This record gives sequence, C-alpha cells and structure tokens, in this order.
Amino acid sequence: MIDIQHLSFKYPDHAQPALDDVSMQLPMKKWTAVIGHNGSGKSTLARLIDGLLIPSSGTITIDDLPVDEAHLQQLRQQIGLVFQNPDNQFVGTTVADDVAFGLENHQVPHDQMQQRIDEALKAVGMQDFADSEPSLLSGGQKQRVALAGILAIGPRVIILDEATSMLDPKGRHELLTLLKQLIIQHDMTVISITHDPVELSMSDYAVVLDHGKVAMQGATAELLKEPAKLAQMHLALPFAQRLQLQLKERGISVPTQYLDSERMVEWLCQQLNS
Amino acid sequence: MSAIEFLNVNYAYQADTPMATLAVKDFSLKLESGSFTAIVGHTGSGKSTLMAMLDGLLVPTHGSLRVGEVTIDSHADKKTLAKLRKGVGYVFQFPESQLFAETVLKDVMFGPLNMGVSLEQAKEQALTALRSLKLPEDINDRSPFELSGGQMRRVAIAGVLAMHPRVLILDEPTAGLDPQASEDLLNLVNQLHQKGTTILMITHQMEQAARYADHVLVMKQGQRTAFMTPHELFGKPDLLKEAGILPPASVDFANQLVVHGLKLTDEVPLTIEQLADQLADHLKQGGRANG
Repeated sequence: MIDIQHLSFKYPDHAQPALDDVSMQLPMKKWTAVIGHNGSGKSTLARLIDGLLIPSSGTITIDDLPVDEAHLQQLRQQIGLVFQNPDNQFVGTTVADDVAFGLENHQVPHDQMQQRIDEALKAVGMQDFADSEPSLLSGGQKQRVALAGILAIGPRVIILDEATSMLDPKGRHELLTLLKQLIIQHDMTVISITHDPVELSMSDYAVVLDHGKVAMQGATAELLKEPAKLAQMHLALPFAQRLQLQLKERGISVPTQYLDSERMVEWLCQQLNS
Repeated sequence: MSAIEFLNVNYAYQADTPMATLAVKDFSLKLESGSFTAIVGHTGSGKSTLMAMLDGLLVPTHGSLRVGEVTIDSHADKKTLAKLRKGVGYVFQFPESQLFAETVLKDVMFGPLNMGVSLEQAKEQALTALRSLKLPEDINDRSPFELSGGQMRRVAIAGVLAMHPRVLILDEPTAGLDPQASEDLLNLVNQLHQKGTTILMITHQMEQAARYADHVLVMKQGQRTAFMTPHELFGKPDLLKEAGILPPASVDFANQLVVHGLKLTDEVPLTIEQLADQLADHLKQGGRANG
C-alpha cells in the first residue's frame, strides 16, 4: 500500500499550498488514476511520491519504505516516472542505447544489460526497433520505449504524468492496453495522473483532487456511479457516463449502478427490444 | 469562386535525386470560401505536406494551387509566396514552442508588424487577438515563458490570429490541452468559422471532425481517400475500416446497438447529444421510460 498521511506542499513563490493536508491509501498491484483540474495538485502529488519534491509536512510510505531523503537510492530503484512529452526524455542514439542509459545509471553489470534491454523492449512490443533512431518513432512508440527504459530497472511502481495526453487515439489505446497487461503479468503498481476519461475508466481505483484537497477517492466503479458530481467539477467523463447524464437531462431515468459502454448497450437493448 | 484549389499537385521530398519520395500524388481539390474542413490520416499520409504548400512553406513539384487570387506552381517566386502567406495563418503543432519575444504583447505584435502595418495598428490587432483568446490583460507585459502551458498555447495562437488570416490552418490544436481548454479553443475556432474564416484543421480526434467540420478530407499515402460530409463519412463503416479510422464514440455506440439488433434511425449520431436525442425518442415512444 502507498500510504499518504497529512501531506502538504507549498511552492516557494506561491501563496496557496499546492497540496493541503491530503491523506490517501493507494493499493499496490493495481492501477490508480489521479484526476483533477490543472492546478489541482495532481502533478505535485506525483513528484512527491517519486521523491522529486520534499513535502512541507506529512509522510508517504510505499509498503514499508518511507519516501524521504535518506531512502532516495532505494526509491529510484522502486519507482519509475513517465512524463508527458515523448520528445523530452531521450538521450540515446538508438532505442537500445536509450534503455541502456538507465541501466548504466543504476550500475547494472554489463553482462546483464543486453538481456534486460531485450526483455524490456519485448515487454512493450518494441523489440524490432532496437536499432532505430528514437526521433523517427511515433509518439506512442516513443512512450513505449520510455516505459521500456523504466521496466529494465525493475521498479514496483510506475507513475505516468499525463503520459498519454500527447498521443493520438491509437497510440493512447496501445499504451493503456500495455499497462493493463503489465499490471497483471508483472504485479506492477501503476499511478496515472490524467485528464483522459478512457484512462480513468481503465483504472481500478481513483482519487479526485480539487484545489489541493482530496474531493473523492475510492474504487473507480464506485466513483463513476456519481457522474453528475464529477461533471460539476468539470472533469471529463467516460462516454457511458456522459450518455447517462444526457439521457437524464431528457427525462429518462437510468440505472444507478455503474455501467460501462457494453452494459449500457445491454440495458438499452433490454428497454427497447423486449 | 472557391477559396482554395489544388490542381494535379505532386510534391516530392528530395526531388531529382535517387532518394525522391512522393509525399503528395496527383492531388486535386476545391474548398469553398468560409468552409471548415477536418483533415485526417495517419502519420506520413501527406496531410502536413499539403498544408505546408498552402502556407507557401513548400511549393508543388508539379501542378498548381490557388488561394484566393494567388496561384502557386513550381516556379513561384518569393514575392508571390509572400502574397500567399498574407492571407494564410498556420498554427503549427505545439505552437508554444515557437514563442520568442520578451513579452506576450511583443510576441503577438510580431506577425502584424512583419506584414507592414503601423506600430499602433499592430498593437490594436494584437490586443484584440489576445482578448478573443480570453487571456487576462495583466499578462501582456510578462514573459510568455512564465505562463502555464495552456496560456502559452493561446498566446501563440493569438500571434497567428492577430494577422487576420482569411484562411486558418491548425495542426492538432488541442493536443496536450485539458478538456476545458480544448473545448474553449475549439469554440473559438468555430466562432472564427462563423465569421467567415476558411478553416482547415488536422486532427486525430474524430469527435472534433464530426462536431465542427462541414467536410472531412481523408488522406492516405499522399492521396485523398475521401472528401465528404461527416454524415456521409461516418455512415460508411467499410470506408472507415479501410482508412484505419475509428469513428466518433457516439457513432461507435450506435453501431454496437445495431449489432445487438437495435437500429435507432438512418441518421448517424455525430455527437453524443444527437445520440441521446435519438435514444430518448425511442425510449419515450416505447412507453418504457419511467422518468
């Protein structure tokens, strides 16, 4: 469990804290989506969990490992971060070199490197591009290579900071499907900071941040039972929830339980076909 | 007269070398003045090359194109290209990466000044453009690099609008923006369209094409696969499949209903509102609506 207790953070030149006394418990080996407006504090939260920022007050522990300056070395092994812009995170001249760079930084012995690079590229479906130049890849492919660079280190937690927001729908879909597989096959814990309603609907657990406070948290299916509440905060909703709200506005009463698109189709067919 | 016309246009990168590759092949198309065209297609389909020719950044290897009264072919000189650019505004992908001036106002004034208007007039046009993008006035004297990502994007777009282009090209203008900022930006583009600006927008988001465009141009391997209204295009599942295009979510949802034996109407629901209207009609008629 990632246990966050009374966490606050204020940037030096800002009047208001970016995060104000937030507490949450995020499950391991699951996918947690952190959603909220620009300025809600969600990116700050990602950087605090990763140890890139030091909290003003409060604590974070990942299972038994405290996130603090004394444990930064271990944290670097355990947490990987994928950023928003696929073009800003490449250093190698080939895809394989780029993955190797991270391993060298973590002082992985040379004789182990090739195997770990091969395995990581295979896990993200990029093994055929090992000798390609990163700049020639599509945005989605670049993000998969960035993910391979992290997988090669073997962390337990992967944080995605709006990592799909610059991708086209196909690239986004491929990356999200890949993440879902990794969680199942490799027992990974994924935390995704996102605006994307599809990403939200694929998560197991969700936290809604609003002005530096936790507005809602719980199982994603539970949260999505209250689409009106999420819409009030101007958050983008999955298609099925938007449709439910639209039908309600037209005087149609829809089931109160959570329906994904497939169940929504089934429900409508029951209403209209029988 | 149509606003834009391509006539048998070819464009080859590295022409006259053994490496020559045709990015656009024998392309012809007419676009009406004041139209809104969405341009879709995969990376490498030729859509950016096509737009670069409209802005005079590239000239056709063969054939010609016309924007308003300016005609461009492989022999076009600098003067003609400059004339072309006067009427065309191009918002590149991630335009914020091209901000350069020391203040927001100076950055937005650069375009009009470059076109030869007076300092006073340039300032007027810049302020109007900044206001239309709903940017707070107190940022005008600040460095554009101190702004948030969404604000930087809007300043960059203001820089293009300040030149009062009659034809506006936008390449994935909402990429990386949050949902609210995306909607605001698209509403602004739509307003410019309503006021008569001819819009060409490259997009991967079919919801945007369906909601705002009057025509969709589908590009594949340098040629046009289709040029038709969103209604026609998104009602042709075979064509979409062949072009590798996922329809808007509302169309996809209606298709799922058909698979389950429920056909609402012949009208393709281009937006979620249209889908909800069709569903509500059926549910109320069916007498099963209990709301």
